[in-house]
Amino acid sequence: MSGVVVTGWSALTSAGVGVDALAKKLALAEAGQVEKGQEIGDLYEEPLPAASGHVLTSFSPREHLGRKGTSTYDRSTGLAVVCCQEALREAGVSLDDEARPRIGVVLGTSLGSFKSTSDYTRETLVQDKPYLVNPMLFPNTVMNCAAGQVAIRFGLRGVNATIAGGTLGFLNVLRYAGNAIDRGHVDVVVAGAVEEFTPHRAWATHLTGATDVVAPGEAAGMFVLAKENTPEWAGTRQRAGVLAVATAYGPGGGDAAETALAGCVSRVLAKAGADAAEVSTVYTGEVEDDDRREYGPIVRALGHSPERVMVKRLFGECDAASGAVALGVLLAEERDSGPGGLSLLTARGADGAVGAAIVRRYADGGPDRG
Amino acid sequence: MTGRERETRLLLTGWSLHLPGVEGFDGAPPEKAAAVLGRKGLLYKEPSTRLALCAVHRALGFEPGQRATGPIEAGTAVVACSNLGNVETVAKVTRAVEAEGGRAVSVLDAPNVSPNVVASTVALWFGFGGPNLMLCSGSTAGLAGLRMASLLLRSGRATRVVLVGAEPEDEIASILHDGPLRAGSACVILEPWREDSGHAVVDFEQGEAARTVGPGGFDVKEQWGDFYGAHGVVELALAAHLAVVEGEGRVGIGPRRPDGGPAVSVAVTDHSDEMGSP
Repeated sequence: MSGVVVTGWSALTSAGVGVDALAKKLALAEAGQVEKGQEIGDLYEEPLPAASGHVLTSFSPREHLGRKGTSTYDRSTGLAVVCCQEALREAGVSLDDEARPRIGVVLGTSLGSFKSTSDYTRETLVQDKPYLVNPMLFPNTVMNCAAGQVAIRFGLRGVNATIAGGTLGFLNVLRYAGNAIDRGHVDVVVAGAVEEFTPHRAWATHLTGATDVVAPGEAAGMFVLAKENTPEWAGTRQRAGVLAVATAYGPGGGDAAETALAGCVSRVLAKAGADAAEVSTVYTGEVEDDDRREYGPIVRALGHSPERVMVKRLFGECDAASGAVALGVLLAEERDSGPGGLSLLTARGADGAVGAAIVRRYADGGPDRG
Repeated sequence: MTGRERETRLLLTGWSLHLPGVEGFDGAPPEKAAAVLGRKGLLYKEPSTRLALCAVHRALGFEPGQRATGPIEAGTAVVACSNLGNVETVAKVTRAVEAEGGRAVSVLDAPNVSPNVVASTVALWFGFGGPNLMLCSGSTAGLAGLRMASLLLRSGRATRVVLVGAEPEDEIASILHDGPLRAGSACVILEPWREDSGHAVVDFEQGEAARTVGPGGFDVKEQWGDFYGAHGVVELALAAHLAVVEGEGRVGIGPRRPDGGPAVSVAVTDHSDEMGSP
């Protein structure tokens, strides 16, 4: 892929709905702070591994979208649809009959809605006969439910894809979306990732040992991506440029994955025609200072130690959506990015999957494209 | 041989053509799939899923009715190519919802409205625990599948890839395809290229071929009909058959160039001569 620009974006995080809530939380946070999240309260009846987590406590899709068409949404679908609405609005995309067929949706996830899938399966076991299960809830059990509902809600008729990439989900999405734009399948992609907070995910994160340092969380982040010379309907500002994305696989994890990640960093620099010295900040999926599974290979590839931002400390373990939260933080933060002003987003999965994206943020919403 | 072959070649350890009504490659039609697969577990399986299962069954060299036993094969990936496999069910379910409401839909239809049912059913049926992909990318789905298989093997994500293509020929599918379809399926089993073994290889390098499958050579679409999403896999399996069983040696795939060579640099070649094995 060649680079794409971000003309607008939004994020739903434990800080609240939208860009402003995220920016406000970042402005108040202290460096290196680890947040345990909010009291979950009576959101779920089922027992939870911990009383707090990174949840949007009072989130209701109806409040943002109205009653019509939202009754069968599960939580992740609601988060995705609301986030997309906010992102399109923020970018100033004019959704008319010319634009709709040229806009695609690419969404990252780990499992879709784990809750919807397991609740549905459970129903087939506890009901008297399997056919008493409510078929209207079936669409929620497929992974591409959220991406599909986003497209239906806003009439976005371009490429519609869901990428189940786990930790790498969002980087896979950026790469896929960039390719779809590059090859002319669409002019614009609403690219993002979503992960819901449910007892199912909370227990899964807890039992796999991922919650030792940070609590599980939920988030959605959506970014309106376009070519630099895209028609005006796609939004007239450039917030950032996603210059290049690379993914790789180091079989078995370990040293092979370290080498693969260092290779990804070198590749994105080469593709972007950038100098390693220009990279001032890296956004990694790590949570502790002495954890260098991503930072180590980055430093090795760059030849210097850029500032490291660990977004999971503030927003929790959001799995596939953590990458989207990282890009949101990158765009929302009041950060003096230094000469060059390039940032890297990286991810590393337990199986040896790795990836990196290189992003340039434009100050004050960037040059006017109009 | 050097490292270059490892990048441009894949070992082809099994293949099958399951093309109901095609002489020489005939296979049970979907409604008679039990003759190949055995009776159990076929209820509510769609035609394209049944065809895909038959093709994989035959590519693995299973006897009629034989079932996979033993542990899950974590290193075996499934890449399935089919565009219209589930559209009849989607149309049926949509019409039922519109006419009589959601309660009129049979829950047993539910898995079949999801397009990836072909890939997941193949994995569950045969116990393949590796990566599982479904490609619905139009006429080129088969070749896209070959590319995916190559990436999975070269990156070490899988040690074996079952690449299967299947397409039905129902009314809804034909309307959406804007032309007649031919039901059929094919399967090739791919492994990373190794120097000391194998019978056939898929070679991505250009090379003069004894025969070509595709326009200008044996044109599958003209001779047999349009297998759409399965077309690319049908061509691959046919090329393997011609190269090995009919002793053609190297068979090119794709339209023939003016100078006589295949335009697409995918060729299936009998590996046994090169290896000096009997």
